[in-house]
Amino acid sequence: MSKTETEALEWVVRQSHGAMTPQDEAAFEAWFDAHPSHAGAYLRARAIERSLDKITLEENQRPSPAAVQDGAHALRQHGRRRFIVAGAAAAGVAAVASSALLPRFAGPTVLNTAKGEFRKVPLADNSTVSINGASRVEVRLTREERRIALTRGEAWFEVAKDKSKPFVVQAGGVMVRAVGTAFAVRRYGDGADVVVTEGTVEVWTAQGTAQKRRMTAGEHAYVPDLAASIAVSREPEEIERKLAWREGMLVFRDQALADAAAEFNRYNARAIVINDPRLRDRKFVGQYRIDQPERFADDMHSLLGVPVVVGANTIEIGQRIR
Amino acid sequence: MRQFLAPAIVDWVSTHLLPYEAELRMKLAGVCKDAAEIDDVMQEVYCRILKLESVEQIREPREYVLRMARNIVIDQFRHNTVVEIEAVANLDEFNVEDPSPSPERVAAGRAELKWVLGLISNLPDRCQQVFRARRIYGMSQDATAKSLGLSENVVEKETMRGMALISESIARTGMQWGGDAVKSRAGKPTVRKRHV
Repeated sequence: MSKTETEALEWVVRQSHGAMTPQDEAAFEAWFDAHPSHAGAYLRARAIERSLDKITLEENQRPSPAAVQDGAHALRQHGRRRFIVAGAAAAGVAAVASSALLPRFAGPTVLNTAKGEFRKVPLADNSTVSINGASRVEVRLTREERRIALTRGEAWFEVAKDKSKPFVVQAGGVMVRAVGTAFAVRRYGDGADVVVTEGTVEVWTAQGTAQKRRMTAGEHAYVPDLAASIAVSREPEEIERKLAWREGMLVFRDQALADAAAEFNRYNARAIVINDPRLRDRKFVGQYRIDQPERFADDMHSLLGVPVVVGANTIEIGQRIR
Repeated sequence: MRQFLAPAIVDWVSTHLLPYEAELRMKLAGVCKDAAEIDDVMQEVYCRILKLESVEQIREPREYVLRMARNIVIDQFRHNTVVEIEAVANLDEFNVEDPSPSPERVAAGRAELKWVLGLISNLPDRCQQVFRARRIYGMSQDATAKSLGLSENVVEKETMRGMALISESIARTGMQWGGDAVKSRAGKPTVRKRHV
């Protein structure tokens, strides 16, 4: 296999399964533009990824994890399968229901991420959803509409234009309808944060009394489930800051220490604990890789002159008040 | 953010070109002088599709791809000092005189699914387990690692390995325009060189 083919596949795997840092994005752009054969190989690699995405079973057809293990065990028992030309079904997959074969009209597809995981998934309608950690997205594409339920966490949607089928995201009691655009929604217990990066969306609530509100690129709003009105702020810089997770980064601009710690804790198993309550409201500026809370703690040590203890399960900032 | 590839084009390639790459390569073996030239033509096909403004207007994908490949081959002929008589004759393989009615969308979708499942079923054991967990059952990398008793590092390695193997096998095994599976002839064309 040629070097270019290998490189193209590596880029696709990296982009689909892990957040790309700004350095990664720049490296990719340089590679893509370096030679026309790179772009062609990338198209082929992306198409392979797309083909593989089409075969994912809907959640209600998947067996339990135990059954997956049994399948793996059976495979080990019977050894390698002989080469079989396309048309033969692997053991356990023969039960694939016919509805899984009609991606255009598929029933709900559930996309899950674990804490700290990132997934970028193309949808059957050519839209793309970038899913942040500890999130859950249900996709229902029908003949009439494209309906997404964000039941947990946060996702950024790049919506393919289709005037005949509205793209609607529902996060709790908050609804967002896209009009050929890109926007992010983050679900909270009692509402949702909506951020628009491109185009226009319409926002309303199922149960609140607020009127429908249009939002355009550069605007963001926190919408309570029972909103009486929807207040929109126009802050393009804040938009980029809020969505830095797409590039594996956390950006803080005048955020309080406690909020920054909470953000890191969304993604990492090792929790940042602020022992000294007087430190919680201290504000600062900085940007960090999502998976490096220790760097952040280090900076706080320098900035605030407080002790920092990095343990197995926690990172403690500040002295415990007795 | 810059959009590198239009999603509609990626989807089109996934549906209308990838499953037929093996058959296309088989036809190219009849007109190209060696494996390197077949690779060059395929590369040019992907480059040209990449540059399309949209794929919505392509009514007959099979005819479109064959015509494109034929044009590329003819351009190639102009550069070659020696062109085999049989190669010119084999150009006929790229003509679509009687465009067969495109199979019902459901049947085509089902055949495509079987083809992709076949690609996975030919992966080596551990690699195949990882792909089934990640791709068919939609498990996250973390859950896959736990379920199969592997480290995440191993899961990542097997993912990359599997992608490479699948990429290679797409050049060899595919669907035939018209529905049945075909296995392409490995490697070199059988046409003997003769001065024209």
